[in-house]
Amino acid sequence: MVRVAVGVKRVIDYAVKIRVKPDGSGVVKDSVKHSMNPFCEIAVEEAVRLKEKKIAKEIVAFTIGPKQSAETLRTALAMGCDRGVHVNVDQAQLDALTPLQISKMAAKIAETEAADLLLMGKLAIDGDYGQTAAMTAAILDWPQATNLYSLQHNGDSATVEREIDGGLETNEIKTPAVLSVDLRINQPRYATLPNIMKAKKKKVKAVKPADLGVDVAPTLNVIKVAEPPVRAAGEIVEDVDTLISKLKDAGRI
Amino acid sequence: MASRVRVLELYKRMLWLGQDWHQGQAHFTKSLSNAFRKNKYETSAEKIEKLIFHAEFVEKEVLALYQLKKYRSMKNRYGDHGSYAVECQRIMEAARADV
Repeated sequence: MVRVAVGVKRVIDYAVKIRVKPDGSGVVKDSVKHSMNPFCEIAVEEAVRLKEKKIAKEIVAFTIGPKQSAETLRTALAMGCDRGVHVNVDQAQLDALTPLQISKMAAKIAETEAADLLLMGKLAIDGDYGQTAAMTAAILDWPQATNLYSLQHNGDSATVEREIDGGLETNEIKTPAVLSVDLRINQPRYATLPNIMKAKKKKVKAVKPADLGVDVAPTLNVIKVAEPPVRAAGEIVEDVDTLISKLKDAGRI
Repeated sequence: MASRVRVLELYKRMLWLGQDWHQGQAHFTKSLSNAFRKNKYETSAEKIEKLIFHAEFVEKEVLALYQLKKYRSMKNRYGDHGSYAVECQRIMEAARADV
């Protein structure tokens, strides 16, 4: 039976209307509702299902973030993970971290926790990078399968279906491997109150980035954050000829 | 009484669900507490059983709503590459075959 590590991220809740700060330096985060990244929930659900199928013996959830990320980790534990690892960085440091630095931390955690499978969401809804899973695999020199639609573990390999433009691609990869999940692989369970209460007893290890050998000094400077331009109103035309001439004028055809 | 414990646990579980309610947690909590308070002095075991069943039904409905809403939002935002793209491809190929 394998040990699964799954990464989770605390992000602004998906249903919140995002507001840009007046000075354009970032997005308003104070007093805004945060929750686990939806794709991370899907990754945790997949890990828990592996345990329910008796393929995985232990699931270690990890997160990189400020002290509030402990709640996100507790949600993962409530969904069925066995223990947690919390890499402490403050909010300002977290905002300046890039996928490369996160990947280095994730790779080190996968090594120290002796994971056989590393699961993640395909992207986080705040950064929309979608880079962490692939980078972590490269750092670990492990095979990777991203945007998974299905996962079937076969001992020392796994058969996966990936969501690609135009359909599905079936791959077989050797394990240990890094896997990132897409939307349709499963429907995650809700972390209900009784499970949240039970999760308080589960062990969480506190770690510093320096312990993982990663420098969190900023390497990326965000110059400006702005809202997308307001969509212009449409125009109704009388007939097809007018439509074609207007499209030609606009250089569209 | 066994039903008192059940009702209290049910109430706490449902309170917890309020955090994701689209009209805000305060709105949810108000509706929830009113609904429970209305039947506070109910004594018939049969009626209590029916009310608990109804509350658990609402609990399941709320959970289903949350899951569906999240799924649909993610699907709309991050695209539906599979079937739609294949459909378009088929239509394009059929159109080209006609020419």
